[in-house]
Amino acid sequence: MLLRFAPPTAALAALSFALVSPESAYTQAASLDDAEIAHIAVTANAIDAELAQIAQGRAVNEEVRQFAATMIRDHTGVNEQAKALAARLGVTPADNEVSRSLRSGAEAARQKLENIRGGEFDIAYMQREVEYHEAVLAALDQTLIPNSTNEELKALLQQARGAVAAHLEHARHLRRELAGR
Amino acid sequence: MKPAAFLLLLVMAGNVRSAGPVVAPRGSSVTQVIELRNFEFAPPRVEVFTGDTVVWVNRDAAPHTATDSLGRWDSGNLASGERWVWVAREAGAYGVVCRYHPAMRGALVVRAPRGLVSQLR
Repeated sequence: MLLRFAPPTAALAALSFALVSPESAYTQAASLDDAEIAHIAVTANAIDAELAQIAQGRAVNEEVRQFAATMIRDHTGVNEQAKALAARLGVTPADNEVSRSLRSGAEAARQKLENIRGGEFDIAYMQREVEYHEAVLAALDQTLIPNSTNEELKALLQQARGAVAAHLEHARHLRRELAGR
Repeated sequence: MKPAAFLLLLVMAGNVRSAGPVVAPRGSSVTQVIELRNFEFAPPRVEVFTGDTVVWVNRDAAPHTATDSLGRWDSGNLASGERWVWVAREAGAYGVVCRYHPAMRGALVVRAPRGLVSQLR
């Protein structure tokens, strides 16, 4: 797989909301290759599926629970495709500072939601889902898709973009519904 | 008489004998493919005739379903690359949804049999 350098972007910095400093995200973004971009995408998918596992057991609203089930199903499906692609290309997705920071951010979000119960959990979870999908969408559009060089990886990221955009609209709809109750 | 010609006569006799509508031979039915792509049904609205076959194909990485909005039929889970074959048996208008993604909506109209040519008396 060819290596290519990705320019620093605010989108990637936003996605890496748990980084100690934004500058480190920029530094890391400047040296991302396809293997690292693939790992960021896989990590972003896995994080949302894991949070959805918690939401399925915690949410009180049936639509929120169904949304969480969709997040698990879709992000798992996308990651299965990503793993199959990586195996086919003989590429091992490479851990990097951005994916590690995503993990840190996910842990922070999990801890924040840990102490919330009932309807408040539903609202907080949907708020987090809106913000997370906005950040992932921006990162896909501004950094991950434009800077991926392998055509199959780019196509998969574009497919993932469709899922993220649909999830964002779904999350916004549910957030509006919950706010109106 | 050659067997094929004899068979054709039998088929024609069957049609003439019928007091109901004459329908085209079964072989004239067509297959319509609907893709589930970018979280949309493509094309979003399809018209077929009874006897036609509709094939839904999931082109997304995420799973989908092709489900009648009134719950009369359902593809079940369609993983990426999977397809579901459905034969249009009854005329009518169907709303098509994905059970997982509420924003995905399509329409399917099934019209009276293709090849309806006359009412023989």
